[in-house]
Amino acid sequence: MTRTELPYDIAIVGLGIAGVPQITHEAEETMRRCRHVFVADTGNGVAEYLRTLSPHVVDLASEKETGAHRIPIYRRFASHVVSAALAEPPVCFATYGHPTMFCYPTTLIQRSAVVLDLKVALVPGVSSLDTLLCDLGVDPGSDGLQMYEATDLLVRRRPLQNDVACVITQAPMVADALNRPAARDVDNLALLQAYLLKFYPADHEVVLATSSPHPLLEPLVQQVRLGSLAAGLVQSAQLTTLFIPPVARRAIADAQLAQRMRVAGAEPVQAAAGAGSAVPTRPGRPNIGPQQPAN
Amino acid sequence: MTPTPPIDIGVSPSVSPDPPAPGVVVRMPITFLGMAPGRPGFEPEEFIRDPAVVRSVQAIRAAPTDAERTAAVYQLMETLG
Ligand SMILES: C[S@@+](CC[C@H](N)C(=O)[O-])C[C@H]1O[C@@H](n2cnc3c(N)ncnc32)[C@H](O)[C@@H]1O
Repeated sequence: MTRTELPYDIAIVGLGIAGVPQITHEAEETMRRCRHVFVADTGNGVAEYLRTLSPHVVDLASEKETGAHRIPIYRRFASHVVSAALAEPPVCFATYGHPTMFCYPTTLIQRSAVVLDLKVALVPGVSSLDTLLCDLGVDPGSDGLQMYEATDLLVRRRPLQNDVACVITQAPMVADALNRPAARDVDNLALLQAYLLKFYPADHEVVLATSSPHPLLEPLVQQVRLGSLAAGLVQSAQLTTLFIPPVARRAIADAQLAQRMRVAGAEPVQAAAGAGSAVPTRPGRPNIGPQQPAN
Repeated sequence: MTPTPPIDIGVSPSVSPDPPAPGVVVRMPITFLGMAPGRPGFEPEEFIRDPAVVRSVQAIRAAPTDAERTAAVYQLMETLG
């Protein structure tokens, strides 16, 4: 298929969280086929790598003026992409993580495309939600998951269910409209803490998690008590996500239905008398089986 | 009622044979965390009748250089959210 036959004028692709190794084949192929690639990802070596895929890569990082309101920055990102798509389609907007996960330029591009009759294709990427679930070993299948943007949570006073795990993005910059990566406003952080304390006890352990942005780095996972959240966030990395585990597990309300779902023979296993009576061991860790009373 | 502007800004099916599907996202509330002043929602059929939108689209179509077109697209973005 030649470039002019591609079924879109603008492709919006996600680049993943951990740099080049997390870029999907699908995203890569899309970027190869586009005439221009506009990149919004400051990951180590990412823009350089994209230059090996496309001769026309524009790094949008220079548009991220420190101290400016975030909305005009997003509008500038979107304007460059849409303007290029009108002149020389197809073009690609390649963004950090997943392209519709808390990514306002994507929304602006989609809206303007409707007005300007441009066709848009979206290509998913690995999001920070994906990496967070791996870093913390959480499966939302067990207790569900609620996810909010920190400022949105406060502005709308959204209710929280404290028996469902909760992910809160953009917590370190809560209630700050400006692009100030290093700044932390203690008063704003205290507002977030106070709001969460309406739903959770102060001694509830929450997690500040930053997924690795590079294969050579480990994720940062720090536990803090909710009562000390603001102090924890003051020192946190810019890209930290707040994870709040459930306070308790919701009781089963429909016992009959739950019973129907049980796997056959799912009764507690009885210890087989006699057979293989040797206690299974694990080097350096307690033996498997009932604990022996201390002498 | 404001008459339909006499230029092709390509949303209504009668203007363009193949409009892009609006999708869910464009129908969501237009403000981002209440930070961008705007309308309560984005309904393309009403939106394209706004004189500010019409002016932006005319400027985009008429822009002689890349820089002027990008500036005109930015004007449109200001009305989008
Ligand atoms: C503007 S959003 C962009 C999210 C991105 N589009 C994605 O798919 O994850 C930025 C927020 O995502 C979360 N985030 C991004 N990178 C992260 C990382 N490496 N570790 C943990 N959270 C991250 C944080 O909550 C941060 O405030």
